[in-house]
Amino acid sequence: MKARNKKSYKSVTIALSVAAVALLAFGSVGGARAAIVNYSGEYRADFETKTIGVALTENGATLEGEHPTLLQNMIPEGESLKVGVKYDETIGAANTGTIDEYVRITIHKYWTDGTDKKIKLSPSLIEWEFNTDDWIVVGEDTEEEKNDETVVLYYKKPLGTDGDPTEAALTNLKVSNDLYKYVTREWDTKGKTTVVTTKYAYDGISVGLDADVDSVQTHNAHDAILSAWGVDVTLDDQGNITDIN
Amino acid sequence: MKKKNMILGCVAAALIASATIAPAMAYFTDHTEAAGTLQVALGDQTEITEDIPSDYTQKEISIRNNEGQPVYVRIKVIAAESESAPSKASESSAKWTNLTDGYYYYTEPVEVGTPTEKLIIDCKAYLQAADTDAKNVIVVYEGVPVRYQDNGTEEGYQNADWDGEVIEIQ
Repeated sequence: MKARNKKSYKSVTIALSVAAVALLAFGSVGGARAAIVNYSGEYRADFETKTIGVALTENGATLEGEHPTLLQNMIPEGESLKVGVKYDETIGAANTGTIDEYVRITIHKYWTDGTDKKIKLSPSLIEWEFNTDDWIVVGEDTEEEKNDETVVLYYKKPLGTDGDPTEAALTNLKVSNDLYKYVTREWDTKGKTTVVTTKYAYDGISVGLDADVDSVQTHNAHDAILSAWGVDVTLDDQGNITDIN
Repeated sequence: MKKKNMILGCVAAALIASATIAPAMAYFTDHTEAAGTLQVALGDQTEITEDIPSDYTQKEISIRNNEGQPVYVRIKVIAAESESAPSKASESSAKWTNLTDGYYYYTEPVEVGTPTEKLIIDCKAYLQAADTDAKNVIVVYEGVPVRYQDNGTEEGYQNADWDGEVIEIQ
């Protein structure tokens, strides 16, 4: 009897141990769950930030690069600059960004000695004309201001992103015949021949032209222009600039 | 306590002051620039040649533009007053024309590297005239650069600035 009881106690103990181990093992295994899932096809959303951009145009072509060169196509190929001739030299702006903008161009004329060094010679000897139908010109109003070297032009209309550039701001350039006033002559006679050499004080100098274009967003236009350009503008209902203060 | 009140007062003042500062706004802007130069070339050199035959009966004058710009030229013949003043010979080029101011004008621009056609001054009658002792025939030459109108066409010898202001440079 005792031996039998001993045997059954042992069996129970073993069974309980196995059960305990099994319970421990199952407890550490995560239950497999089946959940209902569903998914749609891949959806892609593209978005881009708007950019503002502006470039200069010269004689109908948009100037590219960081510091493009002006005046290279003003003279027909094979010819040299002729004093007194009014050359077509149109400078304007093009919208290269993705938002509408207001633009202004600052143009500066001067003389150099043929290198990059500016010289003291009246800039009024470089004559220029502007398109006052489409631009507001600041700096060339009165006769007394004719010797101004710098003029600022504000395009009246907002410039859209449709690809059309502005109308030309600067329309032509001409070097005045007054350059011929400053002259000296030398005569050298040998036999029946006399050689007369005419020299001009301003032979070899160069006409210089700089153009800067600025653009600013059309949204909140009045404050944006005042902040960016420091000018108080008057706008009409279509957003055209009608006055500069 | 006093110090605490002072600090609180300063903080309050700073808060009030900062409330009046307009908020900083950033606007979209862009900028591009370009520059260029073009050289001006002025000046010319002309060569006047007078051919005189051994009998001095005429002067053959031609002018060549050696370098620089095209020029208009004119010539005046100066001699002592006489009934038979030197004059343009018939065999002269038709491109020389004399106007009422006493000058002979070449009617075309003299381009660089080219000579004018000859102006022949007939001095025979003058030299043989009995009414003068002085037999000098002096030729005075003038040349001016060709000037252009706005559209690039030449202004013509009649409109050239023959008497324009000249400031001699030293």
